[in-house]
Amino acid sequence: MKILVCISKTPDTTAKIAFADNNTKFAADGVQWIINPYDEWFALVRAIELKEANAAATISLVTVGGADAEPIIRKALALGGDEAIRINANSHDSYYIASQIAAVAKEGAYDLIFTGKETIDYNGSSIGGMLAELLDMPFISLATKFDIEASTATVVREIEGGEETNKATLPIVVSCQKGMAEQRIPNMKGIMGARTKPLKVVEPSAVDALTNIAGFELPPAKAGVKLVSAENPEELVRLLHEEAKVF
Amino acid sequence: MVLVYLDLTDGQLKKSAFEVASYAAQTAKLLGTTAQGIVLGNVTDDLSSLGKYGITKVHTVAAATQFDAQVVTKVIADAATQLGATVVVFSNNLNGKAVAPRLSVRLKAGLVSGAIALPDISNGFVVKKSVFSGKAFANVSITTAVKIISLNPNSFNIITAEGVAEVVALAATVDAPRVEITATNKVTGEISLTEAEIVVSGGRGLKGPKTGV
Repeated sequence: MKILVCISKTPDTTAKIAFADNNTKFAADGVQWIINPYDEWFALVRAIELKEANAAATISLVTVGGADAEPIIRKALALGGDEAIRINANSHDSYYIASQIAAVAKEGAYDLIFTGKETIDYNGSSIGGMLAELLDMPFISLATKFDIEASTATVVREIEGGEETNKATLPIVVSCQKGMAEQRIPNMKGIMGARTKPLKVVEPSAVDALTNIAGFELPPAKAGVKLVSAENPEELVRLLHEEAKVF
Repeated sequence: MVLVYLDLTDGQLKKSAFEVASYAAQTAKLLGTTAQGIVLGNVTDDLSSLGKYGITKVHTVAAATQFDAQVVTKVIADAATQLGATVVVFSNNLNGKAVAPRLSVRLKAGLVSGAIALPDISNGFVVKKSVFSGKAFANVSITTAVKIISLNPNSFNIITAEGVAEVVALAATVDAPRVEITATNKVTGEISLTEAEIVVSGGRGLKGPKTGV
């Protein structure tokens, strides 16, 4: 079974969000970059678990980004990927990114494609669905459990107000979220081995972006916190009603 | 024309459907056109009442009751093309997140997911969305002829007025789903988190004396 895991580089969850160049781009100076948590903790780790259960499985990683994305790819390889492909392009347009990954996926003829449910920077939740449409594959979103038997996948996914169990025949695209797996930390053997694992750089295909970011804004500064004594719940109710107007 | 996908749960319109209906109608007003809805599946609600939210016509498709994003995408894509929609609106709920990206590819239409405001058409077609997990906003310009917006739930004030929507059946080819639903486990009698108007979160300070497990 050939598994492709889509990896994205995102700012650390504690990074200060600021913008540069007249609010047209993210201010990346001093920012620590990480693997998008949904890609790492749930998509990649579940793929590793599947490989541990089936020695014949292989895990390829794919990312769309510049050379500055390589440290996070090496970390993903240290966790358990077998090889990685970096598509040498930078874009914030989901269609452009999905089209690049689809070109790699078509060439690799993967049985299973995992993505995280969204990236924590642009929060698009779009790559999995776009990829599935580009590849004419079924797409199961927001998966919390994934099992496989022969060529049939059984996937539990979140629906509004509960969960649903789906079955689909491979190949499929699955977006992964909390519940799929538990976070792992790469060990020394993995870190050392990752240095020599293949990391192929490919040039992007000619694809037109469908959107572009005109600019960013920060929300207005929050007003100060009002502390209400635990002995005075009536005041809390009054503030929620008259000032916050929540009811 | 602005086409809005109106989502159902157990044959009834979801709360988010009224919000996106109103959003689509206000978008149509900005563009000087009309807003029409599309509903897939069997509905028990009176769809003509969507006229109150500014929808002029609702197209119903007798589809399989099982939700499959690939099937829904094809039906909406065919309808959008047939009806000449230039903007397609979804709620950015779980179903919207599964369908809107597929539709973007099928129609080669730019998508803004997680929109929080009406489009700004003063200089192109720019939609504001939440980014960096709510810590900032991005103004995203859609450059394609057909545009897709998925609206974050509870981010738009519903506007109502007098009106009755025309309800018509739309002939559509509905493919067999490729994903089989074998079990559904839903909590009944409670409002789902995404449909809730007010969410109260509780906790306690770490510094106090009563923080033990």
